[in-house]
Amino acid sequence: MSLQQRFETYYNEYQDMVRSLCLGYSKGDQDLTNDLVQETFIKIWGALPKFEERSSAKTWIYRICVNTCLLHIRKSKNKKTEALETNHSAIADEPTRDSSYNELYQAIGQLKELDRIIIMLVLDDLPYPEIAEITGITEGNLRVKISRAKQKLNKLLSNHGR
Amino acid sequence: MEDKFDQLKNSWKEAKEGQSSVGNSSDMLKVARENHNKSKKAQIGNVIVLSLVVIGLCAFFYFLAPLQETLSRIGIGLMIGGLLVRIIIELVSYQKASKIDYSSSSTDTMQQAQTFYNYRKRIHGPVTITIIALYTIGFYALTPEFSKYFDTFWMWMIDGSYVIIAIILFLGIRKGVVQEMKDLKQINELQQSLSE
Repeated sequence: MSLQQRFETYYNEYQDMVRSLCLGYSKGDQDLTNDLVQETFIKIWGALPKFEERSSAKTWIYRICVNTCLLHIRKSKNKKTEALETNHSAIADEPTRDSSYNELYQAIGQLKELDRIIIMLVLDDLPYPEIAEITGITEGNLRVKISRAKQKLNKLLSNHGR
Repeated sequence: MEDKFDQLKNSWKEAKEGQSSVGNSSDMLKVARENHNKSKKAQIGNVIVLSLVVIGLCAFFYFLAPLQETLSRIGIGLMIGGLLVRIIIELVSYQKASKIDYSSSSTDTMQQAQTFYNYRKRIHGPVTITIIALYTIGFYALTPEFSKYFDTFWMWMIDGSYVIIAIILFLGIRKGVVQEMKDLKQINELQQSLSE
């Protein structure tokens, strides 16, 4: 299979997965999500010739996406005017999103970048060993982080009008 | 305690199922190809600009103003030498930046990014200051011989304009340095949260 064909196959197969992770990471900001998705696939294209499929394509793409998101904070963090509330109202205006979805963005938006990524991977039903492989965090340490993030999320969700 | 999170997880899954793919693979391939090449060109842009300045300076001192005095020649050497060192540094920077592997685990990628920014930090300190100082000394070392051919007014204009250009360059470089140091700080924080 040519590089072009492989890229197109990966794109068709994993674009929803990538978009979903980027959307959660960007707290529902559509513009930032589009930037991150595009940046991820540009990096995938650049790294594709070296990818020998020793790990699964899914894990490989997740790694690139996670690292693109984490290193992207260098640019996005400086946009101080981009308040979380603005993103929430933008999401709330979209009729296709239900209230739980909005609630999730509000809650995960308050987690630190790394915790946000980890929770997104948990929400995508990724097994802990795979999350550990993607992030490079030991499984024991990862469990502690997930437990803390879940606690924080539960607290945030409980305080949110319930 | 898990209830709320599980509820959320279900909502997330339902919302995801309702989400439809938005992009066309051929369009994304085109974007990826174009941007991949564009980012490579942007990274070596500095090297191209600096190389053109070196070529311009060499041509100027060879064809238009072949200065004869030893002090002037030392000056030319310092100016061109400083620029050549800077070009080498930029090339090494480019090579180091392209070594950041986004397909590694996050801890490895952050480590690579940290190494790159630490290298940039070292360069921005004494190395950059030394290069600018040598270039400036080199430039003013040309003044004695130039003053034989230009009257005082033009010498003031030449030497004065360098100060203005130097201030603009300094502010531009400073802006870039401040941004890169912010980047390094954020990567250090990320690295720390990965190892916590």
